Amino acid sequence: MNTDKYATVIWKNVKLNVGKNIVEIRTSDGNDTAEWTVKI
Amino acid sequence: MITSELNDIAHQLDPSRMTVCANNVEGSFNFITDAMAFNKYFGWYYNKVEDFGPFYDNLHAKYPNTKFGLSEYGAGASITQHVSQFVPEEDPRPSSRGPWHPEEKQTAYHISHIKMIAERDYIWGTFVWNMFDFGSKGRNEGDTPNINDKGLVTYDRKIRKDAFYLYKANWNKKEKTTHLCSKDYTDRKEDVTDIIAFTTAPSASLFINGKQIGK
Repeated sequence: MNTDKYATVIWKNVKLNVGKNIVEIRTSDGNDTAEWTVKI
Repeated sequence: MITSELNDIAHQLDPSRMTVCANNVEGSFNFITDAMAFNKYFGWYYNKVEDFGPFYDNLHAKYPNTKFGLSEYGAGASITQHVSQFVPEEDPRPSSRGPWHPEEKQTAYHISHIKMIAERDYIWGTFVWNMFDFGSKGRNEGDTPNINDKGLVTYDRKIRKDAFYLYKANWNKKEKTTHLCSKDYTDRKEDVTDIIAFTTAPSASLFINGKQIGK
């Protein structure tokens, strides 16, 4: 997805998996990651 | 009036320097100094975030030859409190004077403000309130008493909040930045979320458990 004029990228209403989610952002200027766990 | 006296003294001490008055209300005293600025917290202490634009646009229409500063703006954030949606404009908002200051509220507030400020070239300068959380005796807000948590960095200077990286990616083009927001919201009850990244790169890709989401 393209970055907007203000260095921001937004994904709205993303569905996560119940349980573990390894979330990764990959760009040409580096990557970042998180581990989120969903318990419903 | 003390503002006039102080303005005169400042000019006598150093005629080369401009004077400026920071205020949170409109009045004749705003025109005493060489420049004026306002402390405004639309969407935090009052009104909604989007009311920032009409306030400044109305001022600009009323005083077209005057440029205005934004001497304070900001929103509180506790790094231990999170929500899955970034929606500063929707009610019910977290109470600015209460214990619930989810970090995403601050992030959304600054995303809105950096855009609204950039769209108005008659604003001569802006000042985020504040770089760091700071002591504020008697305040009982967010997750820690006696702290003003509007900082982009925590009180102990150890943790940069998400909004810090918004400004870094926008203002520091010499250093490559890619930052995923809400990383500390690790245990969740919602299976639908907004995901926000700040980056100096022209585009970004999102993967969840190795699968690319929304190209």
